[in-house]
Amino acid sequence: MSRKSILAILVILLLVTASLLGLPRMVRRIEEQTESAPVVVTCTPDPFLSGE
Amino acid sequence: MKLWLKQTLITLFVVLLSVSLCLYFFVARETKSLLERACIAGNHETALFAGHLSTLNRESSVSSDSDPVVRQALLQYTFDNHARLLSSGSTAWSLALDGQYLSNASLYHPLSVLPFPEEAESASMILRKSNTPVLISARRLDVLNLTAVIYRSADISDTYAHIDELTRLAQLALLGCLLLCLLLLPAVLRRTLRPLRKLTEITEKIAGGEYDLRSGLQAGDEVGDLSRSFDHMAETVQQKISDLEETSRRRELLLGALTHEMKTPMTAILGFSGSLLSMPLSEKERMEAAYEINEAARRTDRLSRKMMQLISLQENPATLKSTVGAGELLDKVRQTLIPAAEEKKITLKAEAFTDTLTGDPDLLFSLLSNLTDNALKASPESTEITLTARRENSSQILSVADHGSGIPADHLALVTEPFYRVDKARSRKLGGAGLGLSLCQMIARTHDGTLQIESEPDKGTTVSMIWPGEEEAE
Repeated sequence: MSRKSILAILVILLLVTASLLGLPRMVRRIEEQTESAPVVVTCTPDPFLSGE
Repeated sequence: MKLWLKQTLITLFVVLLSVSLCLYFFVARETKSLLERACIAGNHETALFAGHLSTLNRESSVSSDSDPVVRQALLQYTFDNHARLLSSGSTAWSLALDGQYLSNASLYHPLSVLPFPEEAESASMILRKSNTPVLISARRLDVLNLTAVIYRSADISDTYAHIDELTRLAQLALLGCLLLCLLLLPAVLRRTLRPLRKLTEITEKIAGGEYDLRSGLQAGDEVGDLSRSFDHMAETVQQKISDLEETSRRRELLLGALTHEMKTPMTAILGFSGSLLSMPLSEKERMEAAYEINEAARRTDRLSRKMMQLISLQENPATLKSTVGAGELLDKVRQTLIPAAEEKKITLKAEAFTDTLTGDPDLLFSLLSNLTDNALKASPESTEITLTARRENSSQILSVADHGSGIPADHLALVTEPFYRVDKARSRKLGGAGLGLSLCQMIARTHDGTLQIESEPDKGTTVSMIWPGEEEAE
C-alpha cells in the first residue's frame, strides 16, 4: 500500500475518532451552558393569578 | 494507489464528514430542545400550583386585612395539603415568604440556590447536586395580601439519560455508516470499474500480439464510450499492422524476385567475360560474347530503371492534376514504338475521343508505353494494336487492345504482381522482367484509378486504366 493510501486512511480514522469523542463533549458543553445561568422571566401575564 | 481505493477513500471521507456534521447538528438541537422542554414543563407545573393557591383570594373566609399570622397559617396549610398531593419521588415543593421558608420538602435548598428577584414573575435553573441534575423552578405568588414564592425541585436525570442515549445512538450511527461504507463502497466501485480492468487485460493481450481482440463493452456511460473508442483504435491499429505486414511481404518478394532476375544477366556477363579472358576465341566468337554481355547489361539496366520507377511511385504516391492532350499523348507513344512495331509488321492505331485528359503526363506516357510494349510482345505478325483515349461520365479511360495470344483466366489476377510472367521462357527471351503491369497498376493507383484487364486466350487482350476526372467542357 502506498504512502498516500496510508495517509488517507489515517485522516479518515482521525475524522471518525474526533467525531465519536467530540459528540459527548459537545453535549456536555451545551448542558454546562444551560446550567451556568438561571432563566428569569419578568412581567409575564399569568392566567392562574388573575382570579381575583 | 488503485483507482477503486482512491475513490473509496474519497467517498468515505466525504460521507463521514457529512454524516458527522448532520449528527452534530441534530444532537445539539435535540439536547437544547430536551432541556428547554424540561424547564417549560417545570414552569408550567409551578404556574398550575400557583393558580390553585391563588383561589384562596376569593374562596377563603379570611380577608386580605386579617391578621398576617392567620393569613400565613392558612397559606401554609393550603400549600402543604396541595404539595402532598403533587409531590412524587423526583419532585419536591417549597414555599418561601420574605426570604424564609414557610414550608420546605426539598433537599436542594432552593431558596439559597435560586434567589428570586423582587420584580420577577418566574425563574428556573438547572444545577447539579451530588452529580444529580436538578431543575429548580420558582413562581411568584400574590395571595391574601402576601407575596410568596413557590419553588419546585425536580430530579431531571431522565432527561439527561435521554440525552446520553441520543448521543450513544449518534455514535452508533456514525460507526454503522463507517462499516456500511467500508463494506459496500469497495464492492460497488470494483464492480463499476470492472470494464476498465477488462480493457486493461485486452490492452495487454493486444500488446502481446492478439490484434483481433476487442473489448465489446456496450455500456451507455463514459466507460462504454471509452470502450468503443478503444475498439475503434484497435481496429485501426490492426488494419495498419496488416497493411505494414503486407507491404513488408511484398518488399521481401520484390527483393527476392529482383535478386533472382539479376542472376540471369549476371551469369551471362560473368560467363562470357570469363570466356573472353581465359579462352582463345576467334573474332566471330569474341563478337558474339561481347554482344551477349551487352544484351545482359541492357537487361540489367532496364530492370533497374523499372525498379526505380516502382520504388519512386510506392514512396511518393502523389495525385497529379495536369492537363494532357490526349491525341498528342497517343501519337508520342505511337511514334516511340513504331520501329518495334514495324519489325513485326504490326499496325499501331491511335484513337483519341477526347481532347484532354487529367493526370501526370510522364506517368501516363509510361503506362501507355508499357502496355503497348506488352501488346507488341504478345501479338503475332501483321496484326493491329489500338491505343484509345476517351471519357465516360466522370471517368477517363486509356486503353490498349491487341489481337495476341491473350492471358489465361487463372493468370489474370496475378499478372500485376512484380516479376510475374505468364510464359517465363518467352518473356525472358523477349527481354521482359515481369514489372510492366506492376508499374501500370501503380500508376493507376497513383491517379486514384484501377487497371482493368480483359482477355481471351488466342483472341487478344484489352488493358485499360480507368481513373476519375471532371467531364470535358463543351
